[in-house]
This record gives sequence, structure tokens and C-alpha cells, in this order.
Amino acid sequence: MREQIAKTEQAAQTREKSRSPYLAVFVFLSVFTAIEVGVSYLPERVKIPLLVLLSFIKASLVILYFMHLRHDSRLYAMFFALGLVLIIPLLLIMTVVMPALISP
Amino acid sequence: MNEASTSQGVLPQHENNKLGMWIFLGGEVVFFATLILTFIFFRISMPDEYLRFRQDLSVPLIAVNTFILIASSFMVVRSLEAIQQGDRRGLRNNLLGVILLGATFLAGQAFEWTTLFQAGASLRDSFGTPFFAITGIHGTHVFVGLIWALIVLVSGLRGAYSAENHQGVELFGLYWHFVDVVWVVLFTVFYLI
Repeated sequence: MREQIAKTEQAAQTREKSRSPYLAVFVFLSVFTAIEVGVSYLPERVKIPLLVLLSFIKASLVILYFMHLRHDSRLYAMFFALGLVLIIPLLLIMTVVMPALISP
Repeated sequence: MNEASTSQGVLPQHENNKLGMWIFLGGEVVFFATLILTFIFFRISMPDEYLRFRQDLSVPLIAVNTFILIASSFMVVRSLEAIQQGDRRGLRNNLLGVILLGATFLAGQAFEWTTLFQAGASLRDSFGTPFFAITGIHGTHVFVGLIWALIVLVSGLRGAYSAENHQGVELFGLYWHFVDVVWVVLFTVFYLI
């Protein structure tokens, strides 16, 4: 009986390991990094949106899977995202107010 | 903290620690986003000067460094996975890998800085100031992460962590992954765009 339980637990652990997304995420991140380097040689109007998109995907993969935000409490995500929300006023100052002050 | 207080909306102690870490990381988001936006503003204002500065940046070297940091993040998450299964040897081996990779990243950055200074870059340049300040602050975060990894490693060797108690590893992991996320953005903004 005890052996049976141990075998079942071992099988569950093996299944858990095989379901682990970490290796797949690591491979994606590495491949995307190589793609980014290739994309950086393209003309600016093509490369900028592509690089922003690839960078966003890479950062999201790390946050969602390595930092477990995909399965963790939404409270954590909320506090993390709050940082990004606080940046909006700064972004507005830099894109609207400062250019207006600098231009003659 | 008992179950009743949890059901009333009060988080248990270990969840409070994690929430505290996420609030800290939210503050770090504001800090790094401000620095990066400032750099982007300078870059848009002075495109020619930036192109001159960028000529000396080595994309292949930093691409390798980026890969090293991503690999270290993978090893951090593997170390957490190991201790969650009660595998202390796995925790130790992966943390040793993290320390080795983190130190290699810093060595790569030191090599890059030396090369840039030899090529004539200066802390007083229009782009030298934000470049060295931001990559330096990030490098300092990596250095702090290395010390933290060392502390987690020693605590692990002393048997502080187990399958049931591994939050110390998890909190360190959150910090290290965040430093990785920041580098993902810096790599794109400084070297590729």
C-alpha cells in the first residue's frame, strides 16, 4: 500500500515536471532575443514596432510565468501595475508639456 | 494569523511578505520607467548625437549578456521548483548557477564599460550620463541580487528551506526576475532601437 502511494506520488511529480512551462519559456525568451538582434538591422520604421512588441512579449513571459503572476493573487498584479499607472503623468509631461516649453 | 482573520480579508503573514515584495517592485517600476523615459526623451531630442554614441555599443556582446541573464532567471525558477519538491541539492546547484551567471553578466558589463571608456565615451557626454547611470543602477541591482542569492544559498545549506517553507527563495526569485525584466527593456531601448 505504502509503495503504491509512493509510486502514485512519484508519477504525479513526474507529470508536474513535464507540465512545467519554465523550459519552454526559457527557450522562447532565448529565441526572441536572437530574433530581436536580427530585427535591429531592419529599417527604423519597421524595427521599432517589432522590437517594442518582442520586448513586451519577453517581459510578459517573465512576469506571468517566472514570477507566477498568471496564477497568483490579482492583488500582486494590481500593485505592480500601479507603478505603470503612476508613470502616465510623467509620460504626458515629457510628450506634451516639455516639447511645448522647449519649442520657440 | 488564523483562518477567521484570513476570511475577513487580512492576508496571512507569508502572503503579507509577498505583497510587500510586490509593492516594492511596483516602486521599482516607477523608478526605472522614469529613468528610461528620460533617456528616450533625450534620444528623441538629439538623434544625431545618439547615433554617434551608439556606434561604440557592441550588440553581439550585450546579446550574449542578455542570454546569460535570461538563463540565470531560468535557474532561479528551477531552484524554487526544486525546493518546492524538497530537493535541497537542486536548490543548491541552481543557486550556484545563478551566482555564476550573475557574476558573468557583471563581468560582461564591466568589459563593455572599459571598452566604451577606451573608445572615448565619458560620464559627461549627453548620452554617457544617462547610459552609464541607468546601466550602472541596473548593475547595482544585479550585484545586490548576487549578495541576496549568496544569503539564500547559505541559508539553504543550513537547512532553512524545505518543501513546506521556501518563501525566502520565492521572494529572492521575484527580485531577480524583475531585474531580468528591466534588462529586457534596457536591451531594446539602448542597444536595438
